[in-house]
Amino acid sequence: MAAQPLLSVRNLRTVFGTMQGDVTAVDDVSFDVAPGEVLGIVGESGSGKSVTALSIMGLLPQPPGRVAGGEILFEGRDLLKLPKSEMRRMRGSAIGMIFQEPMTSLNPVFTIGDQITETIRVHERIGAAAARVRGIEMLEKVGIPSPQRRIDDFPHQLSGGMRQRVMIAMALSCSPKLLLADEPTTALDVTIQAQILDLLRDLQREMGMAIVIITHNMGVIAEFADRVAVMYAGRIAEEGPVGRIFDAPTHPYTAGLLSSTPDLIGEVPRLRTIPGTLPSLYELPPGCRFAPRCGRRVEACEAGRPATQEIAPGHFAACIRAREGASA
Amino acid sequence: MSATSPAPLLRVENLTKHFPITAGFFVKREVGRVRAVDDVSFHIAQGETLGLVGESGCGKSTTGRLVLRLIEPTSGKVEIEGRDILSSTPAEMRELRKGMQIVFQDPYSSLNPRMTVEEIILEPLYVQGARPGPEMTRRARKLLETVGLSPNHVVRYPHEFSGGQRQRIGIARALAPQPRFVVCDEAVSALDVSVQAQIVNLLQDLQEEFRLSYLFIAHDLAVVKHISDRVAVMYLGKIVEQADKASLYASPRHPYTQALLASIPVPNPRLRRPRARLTGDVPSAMAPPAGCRFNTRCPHATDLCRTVEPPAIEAAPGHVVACHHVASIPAVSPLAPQR
Amino acid sequence: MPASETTMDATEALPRPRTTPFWRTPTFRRLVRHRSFMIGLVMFSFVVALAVFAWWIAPNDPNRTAIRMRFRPPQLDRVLLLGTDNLGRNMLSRIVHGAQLSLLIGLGVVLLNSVFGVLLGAVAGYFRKLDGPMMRLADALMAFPSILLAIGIAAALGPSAWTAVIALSVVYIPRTARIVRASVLVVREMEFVQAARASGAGHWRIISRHIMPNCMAPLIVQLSFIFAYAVLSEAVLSFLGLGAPPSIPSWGTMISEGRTYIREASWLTIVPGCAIALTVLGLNLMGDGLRDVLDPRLKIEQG
Repeated sequence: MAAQPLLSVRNLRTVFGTMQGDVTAVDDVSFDVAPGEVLGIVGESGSGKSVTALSIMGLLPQPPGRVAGGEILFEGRDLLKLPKSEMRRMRGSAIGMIFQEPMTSLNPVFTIGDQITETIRVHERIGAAAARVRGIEMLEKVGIPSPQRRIDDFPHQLSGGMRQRVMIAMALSCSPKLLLADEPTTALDVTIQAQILDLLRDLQREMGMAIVIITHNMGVIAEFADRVAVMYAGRIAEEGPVGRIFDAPTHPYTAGLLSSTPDLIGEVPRLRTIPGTLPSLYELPPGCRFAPRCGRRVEACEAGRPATQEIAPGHFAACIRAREGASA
Repeated sequence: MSATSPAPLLRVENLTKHFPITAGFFVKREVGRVRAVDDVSFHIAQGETLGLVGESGCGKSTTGRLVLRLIEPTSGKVEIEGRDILSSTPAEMRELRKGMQIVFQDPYSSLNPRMTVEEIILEPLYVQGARPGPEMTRRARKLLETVGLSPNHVVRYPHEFSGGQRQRIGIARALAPQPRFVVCDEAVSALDVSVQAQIVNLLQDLQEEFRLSYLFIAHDLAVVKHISDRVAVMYLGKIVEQADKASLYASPRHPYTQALLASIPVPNPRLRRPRARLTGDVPSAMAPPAGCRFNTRCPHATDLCRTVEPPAIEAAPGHVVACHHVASIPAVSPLAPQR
Repeated sequence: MPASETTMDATEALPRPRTTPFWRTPTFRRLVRHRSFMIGLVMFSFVVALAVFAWWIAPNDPNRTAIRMRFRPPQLDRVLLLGTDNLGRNMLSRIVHGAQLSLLIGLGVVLLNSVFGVLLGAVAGYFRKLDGPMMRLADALMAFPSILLAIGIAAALGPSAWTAVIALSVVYIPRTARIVRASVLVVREMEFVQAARASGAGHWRIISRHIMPNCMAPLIVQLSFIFAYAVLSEAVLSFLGLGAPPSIPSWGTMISEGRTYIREASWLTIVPGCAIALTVLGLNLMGDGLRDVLDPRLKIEQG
């Protein structure tokens, strides 16, 4: 990439203090997002994907959580070193975020109009009337019918899909350059999910915005993302263009995830599962965290953290046997 | 359906459940009803899995509970092994319950946190009158082994286990009274992908080993496709399409099923599929649309659809569709790649 | 066979005894580390010790009058540690015997609440049809200021220790029932209750084996506060002459009798007042500690 990436996360480490000691939720994670690109971060519970997004936005719950190391460069500036007021200014205007649960992300005692215009007016110096006009425009853009009427509705008067559209409208109201979407469709029905993903894709193309979408659904990644990073137990296992990762996954975990997902097309008599369970973050195995469950492990896997290998330009895998070709 | 097959294990006919909405301070009046399940009929043969799919609010979970009589139906008939469940006395029900069990969705609330694994698994047997003792402990250990957990875990408490392990315990509990029929109510929906696959495999293995019949309720069509023999699709309390797995997924006839299959994201980036999307939201079950309940979102809706409820039409052998225009709507394959 | 898919059973590695005694559970460890709880425990234990060892601690009969020994102030002396009152009765003896009374009454109220409060709360929470009328009845009882209601009942029944127990229980049972009912309402909807029903369990089995054991935490906290309330209220009732008869030493009666001499012999009221304060404060601190430790939010260890 000749151009400077829009977002560059370097060696991010996020730690949570618990009664049993510190737990590293995100362990030395690095990735880049180019302007206008869609990066998908996929992983199961405990992979650290949501924590990564919260760390970028500076929305970690501060008493237990803290960023213990690394840099988060947005347009060249390290977000971790910004004063709080500056970070607040970035949130919403330069970087937007949408969450999983639209019901709890919207304040139930204010109308959606109040909430959208609040976001607009925090970042831009325009009057209430002008902000309302902008709000109605945004609602229309996200596909809410009769926006002039619905802008005065309360969240509980809208369905789940509509509330998610309102959240998107709020997040995009100041035309951010980067949107973080944390499981934006997981709580929605399949048909509504498809509508929302279509909407996001259209808006993304229209606004030239970069998106980091976090999900556990491989199908969503395949249809929506340009590049994908697969996370396991706080580390990135594999990262690369979507086509390559799905066609020929080189990390055994990625391959395992794909073979565990039942296929809508085609048929297998029995799913090829990954044996064992996720390790507890309090008792992580030494070396490669996936080693205990990996069918291709060798002694060297337990020795130390596997170095990231470049399989092809832009395609990386944290597995010492990645280059040996498609996994078993 | 088929003339020569043996009588089905479970036969459900015209099952209906309306939840009344009451208002009033001392005297409650009914001001409306939620038509959660409306005139649903299906059957399951011995050793067969029927997948019941639909989006939230379609009534699939309610159907599962009605079939086990955990909720009292408003009307309809449920017969298991020829015996009418709905007219059984409480004593007869307790006996019948040995043969039909349920596995729940949430591994974190489906196990009593204050009971040991042994007590949880054996509860269905204790309820029937069994007394604790070494023989029962032996059975509990054997059940744990059957579901892939170490027998030594009988003394532990639920909070010591992961979600997938808890779900296995729930399955062991369901197996304890040696049922013929198990309702899996979103049994894998709350699990991570890799764990989900393990549990799906387990359910299939158990089905083979014990000749179980499953009513597999889920919203994930891919999982349902993998585990089911036949599939029924529900929308707003009604079954809109019912067929064997291959026919339903390859050539869905009901517009809702077609839209559903077209909406599911598939983990294959090379696949370009038609972007035909359903517009609008699901109507409320309190005031379902007149006529065909899907007419407000259906691209093929006509005046007939808006006034008359469609009958269940057998479009092909074993493939039943509740749509007036099933003959004229082309059977698209939403899963086939397009150029 | 599925067994191979779970070879990496993380819990296998944990060594565990067959059944864990309470003093090894994490709950116990959290309690012991909770400062307020431990302070409260020490305070309350002290009072309990006074009551239990009353016969040894008391220098003489608490009711024995000794006119020549009247109004002795507290001093560093085994017998006159807390002085004597207006009739020459030994204050130390009266205090420790009063402790017995207060704790017994407190215990009585707690026991009645445990039985009836739980029963009524469980029934109200579980059986929807009974919930409405029962809660209206509870509301009616709670509408009276608690002390007035206690006074009213005690006056109607005539002063005695039993009266105090009954009156205080009647006042507090609706509150306990409400708390139990709230827990039952939540637990009733949990899936494991449905699972029990699917196994064929009847109402009483579900309530006793499945619902109630999961409602213990708020109940235990509530009971500790009820104990404190009972001690305090008994003192009030005795103060007004509606509690135990004068032949039984009671902290409240002591305050009432000492009131007249508050200028010359202030210890007659201060000493029993401190005893009440120590007991009630100790119980409240324990209750707060229990509430903190038993808070279900802290119990989420997995997921």
